Amino acid sequence: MTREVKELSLLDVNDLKIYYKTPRGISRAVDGVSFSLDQGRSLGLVGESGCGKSTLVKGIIRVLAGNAVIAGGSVHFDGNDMTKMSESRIRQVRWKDLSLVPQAAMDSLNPVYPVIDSFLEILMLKGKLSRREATQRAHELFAMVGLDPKRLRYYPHEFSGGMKQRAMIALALALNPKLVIADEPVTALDVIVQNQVLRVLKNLKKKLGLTLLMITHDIAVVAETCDEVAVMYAGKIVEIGPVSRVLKHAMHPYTMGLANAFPNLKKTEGTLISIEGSPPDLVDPPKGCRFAARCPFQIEACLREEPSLVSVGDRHQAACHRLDETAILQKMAKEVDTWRKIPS
Amino acid sequence: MNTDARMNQRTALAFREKGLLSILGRNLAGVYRFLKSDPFCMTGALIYLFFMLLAIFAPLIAPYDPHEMIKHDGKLAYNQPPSAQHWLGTTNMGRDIFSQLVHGAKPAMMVGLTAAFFVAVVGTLVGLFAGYYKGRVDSVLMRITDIAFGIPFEPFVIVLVAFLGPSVWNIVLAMGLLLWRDTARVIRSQVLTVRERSFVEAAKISGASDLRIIFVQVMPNILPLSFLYGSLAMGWAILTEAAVSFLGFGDPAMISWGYMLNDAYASQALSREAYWWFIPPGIFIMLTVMAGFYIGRGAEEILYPRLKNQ
Amino acid sequence: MAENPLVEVRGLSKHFPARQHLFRVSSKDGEVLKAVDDVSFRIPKGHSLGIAGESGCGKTTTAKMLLKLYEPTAGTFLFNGKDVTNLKSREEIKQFRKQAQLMFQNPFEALNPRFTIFRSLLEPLIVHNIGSREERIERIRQALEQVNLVPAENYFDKYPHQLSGGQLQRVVLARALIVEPIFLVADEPVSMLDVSVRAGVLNLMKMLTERLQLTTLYISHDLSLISYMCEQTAIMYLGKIVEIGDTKSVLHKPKHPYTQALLAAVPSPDPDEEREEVLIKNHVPSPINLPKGCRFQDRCLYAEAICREKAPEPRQADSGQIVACHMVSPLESVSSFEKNQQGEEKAI
Repeated sequence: MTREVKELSLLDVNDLKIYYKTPRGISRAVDGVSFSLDQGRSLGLVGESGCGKSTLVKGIIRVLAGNAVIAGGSVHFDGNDMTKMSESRIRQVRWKDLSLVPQAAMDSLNPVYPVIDSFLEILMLKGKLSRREATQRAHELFAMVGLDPKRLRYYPHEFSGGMKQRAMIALALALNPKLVIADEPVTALDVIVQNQVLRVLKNLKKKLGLTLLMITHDIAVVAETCDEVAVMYAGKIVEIGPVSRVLKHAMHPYTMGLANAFPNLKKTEGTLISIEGSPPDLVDPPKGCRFAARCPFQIEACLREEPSLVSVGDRHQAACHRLDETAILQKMAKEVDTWRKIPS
Repeated sequence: MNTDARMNQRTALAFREKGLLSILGRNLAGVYRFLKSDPFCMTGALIYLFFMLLAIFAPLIAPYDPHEMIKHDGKLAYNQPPSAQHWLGTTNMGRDIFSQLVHGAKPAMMVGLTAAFFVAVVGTLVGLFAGYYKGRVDSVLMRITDIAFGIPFEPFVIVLVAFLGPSVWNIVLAMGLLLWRDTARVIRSQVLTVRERSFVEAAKISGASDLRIIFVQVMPNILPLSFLYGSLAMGWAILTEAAVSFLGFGDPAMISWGYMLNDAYASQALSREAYWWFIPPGIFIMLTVMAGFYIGRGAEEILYPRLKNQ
Repeated sequence: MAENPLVEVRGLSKHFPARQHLFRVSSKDGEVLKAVDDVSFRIPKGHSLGIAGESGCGKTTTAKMLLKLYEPTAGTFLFNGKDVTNLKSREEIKQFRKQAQLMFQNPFEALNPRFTIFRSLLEPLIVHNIGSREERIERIRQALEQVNLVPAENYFDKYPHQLSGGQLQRVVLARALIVEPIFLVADEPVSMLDVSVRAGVLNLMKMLTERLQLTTLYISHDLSLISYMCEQTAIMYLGKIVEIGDTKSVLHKPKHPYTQALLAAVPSPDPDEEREEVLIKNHVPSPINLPKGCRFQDRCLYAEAICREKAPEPRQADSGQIVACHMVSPLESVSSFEKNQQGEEKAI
């Protein structure tokens, strides 16, 4: 399913396919994913383990493992197709135009050097700043994320988890990149610190017009921080659109199920509903819809034919055969019994 | 995957009926399956198997007694090149080289296997207790290990043999006293990691005693390492035995490959270009040591199994 | 509801000698890490208590003391009417271990990777010498059925790496329940599971603990989980309980400023909802150099002179829960707090 490359998007992923060569066969970790991200917007990529979100992101910045190949599609960043770029060209792009806040960023800082050294290295080597300019910039960056610049001289182990995370965000912003990708930026953090980091991200979005692609499994984090959300399942995007539309008026059964699974502090009554089963084997994916086996609304067509993403509203797309019945399905999805009777 | 499941079902049922024997059976089946997967390991295992058979059936395979000084037509058949009667010729004392080669497998295997056993067992036990109990037990055990490390291996073997006499068993004793030190260190550090894992805590919470935890929970997780070091030890042991015998401190009653090398050297076989005398034992030594390493290398596969499938 | 609580702790403390530098262990006076300091609470039989707080607050250490994995530095631990603070005899400890079980945070690590599921479930039965061979097989089958892993036989010969996180956690639960304990501690039981699977495990735990009349203690930093699973909630901060009471009171009418900050910090899955500001000062607390007086003073917006002088005594608030804070008067309602909230905000 290809589309025309939108001219205004900063990041345009088109029918991207990334496969892994495993001893058991080819695992289709990312199987035809398309989305675009405009400048100044933030997109949350939501999904569970094995859905392909990490692979997708690694594919975008081309840090895939040795046994992974980009089997098709394209990734246009700022007009250029990244999949066709040479390694040296990509290295130029990395960190200058596009940077990454990795998962478990706390371990990304070299423990034997004071934190400022990591900044100086990037700013002086890649940014070609003088030592004085780089130090000043490091101070600015720390202030931007709410950290006391005096702490730049400290070692990583003297920082708490949340502080390290903010330092990593500051590092990612060092060269004023156009796009920042954050991989589970707040997963390992306590809730108050998580809140601080999310506020920092929101502030940066406002002040710098930061374009953000955030990967997370936590819907609440996406709801707070992102403009748009893409829900991934088994290597495909099953629903994508503005955050309030997707989360409050989910069109895809998986999204409906996810929304049910999050306990809400405000709601004291009601049972949490879980989705039985597990994601399909990506080496031998089922014919038809990949969510069918776990879907309470499965019909015959779901097993035969894979649904493609169709528009269901303003910038809102979903891939399901029963989109015309969503009003009923949404109501049924809220009932506990719906999810118990899963056909196998 | 289905046949595996069925086989597992069968062996599992067997376990419930017969207990220990079937655990063994299931483990052997696993070992076989594993050997099949790694060609190096398989080669190593086959080489060992070959030498073990050689050692066991030596009297049947060797045409002559290795010590026997053979006379043909009343004359001592010394320094003879390979012929139909003597496939690898004879030594300068008229002994059949081929028979010596075949019989040489016995001391090699004895030394190799016993050393491997000692290294694996003693090293593992020391490592297990030091790593699990930490504290004083650890200090004491590690000091002993350090002492063992300080003593150089070959000279120690020679000195011990000089005192106790040149018997194969004294060589084995010397090895047993020192060779376990590497294993102990490595097993200990592995145990230090394993004991922190949740399932060990789970065992503690379920009320298991320390000894039970050490042998039932921790040990299976470090056994591959013991196996690895055991196979490496086999190679080292055989080499050492060869070196010791070559230096003349070996067991004259049991003709080993090293002894053959010594014999050949002492009788100037090199200058006489009697390659058929010293090359075969050299090759055999090389093969056994290689086989040991290959098996050990294969054991590394078990050390990092594809446990993380998710 | 304090008749015959199953678990009762009074003044429980755990102090560790603090390391000052990497290579020097300091045991000077005062150089102590008070991981848990003078904690008291009760869990009535068949009821559930959740302890919430951020990392380093002491909740896990408390749980470990209740499982007798750590010896308390001070205080008493009464279990089923008996003082088990200092059990010496092997027999008594083993008996305790049969009655108190743990559910682990990491399902991938909680089972011995070299054991089949059957073997892992068999182990506690062997340790406590429960049942004959046939009875054990039956018990294991029932344990698996109880956690909805059916048909049970299919799981007997599987290894942990062949199961998903949700399935593993159910096995861990089955293993905990197979010895028929009366007390279950669950330490972040679902934090490492995929979100869609969590509800299944939580609902299962809820159902089983009710059916088996288990007394449970949940440890979590996730307030929504505690809200869903526990009747009572305790909030810990730097080793002390700052608020404890019925979950409804603590989480819906929080009195302690820290509880309020925690609740305000939880992101909402509703994208249209505006969250209130989190009213807390930006300060990294050090568990070693604790200030005199209330431990929360450096981050508290309402701290006054008395807070720096004296540690607050726990008192009962009007909504039922017990709070340790000078600024909450038991006789006053929430209104005085609202007055303060309109003051200076130094929040992040």
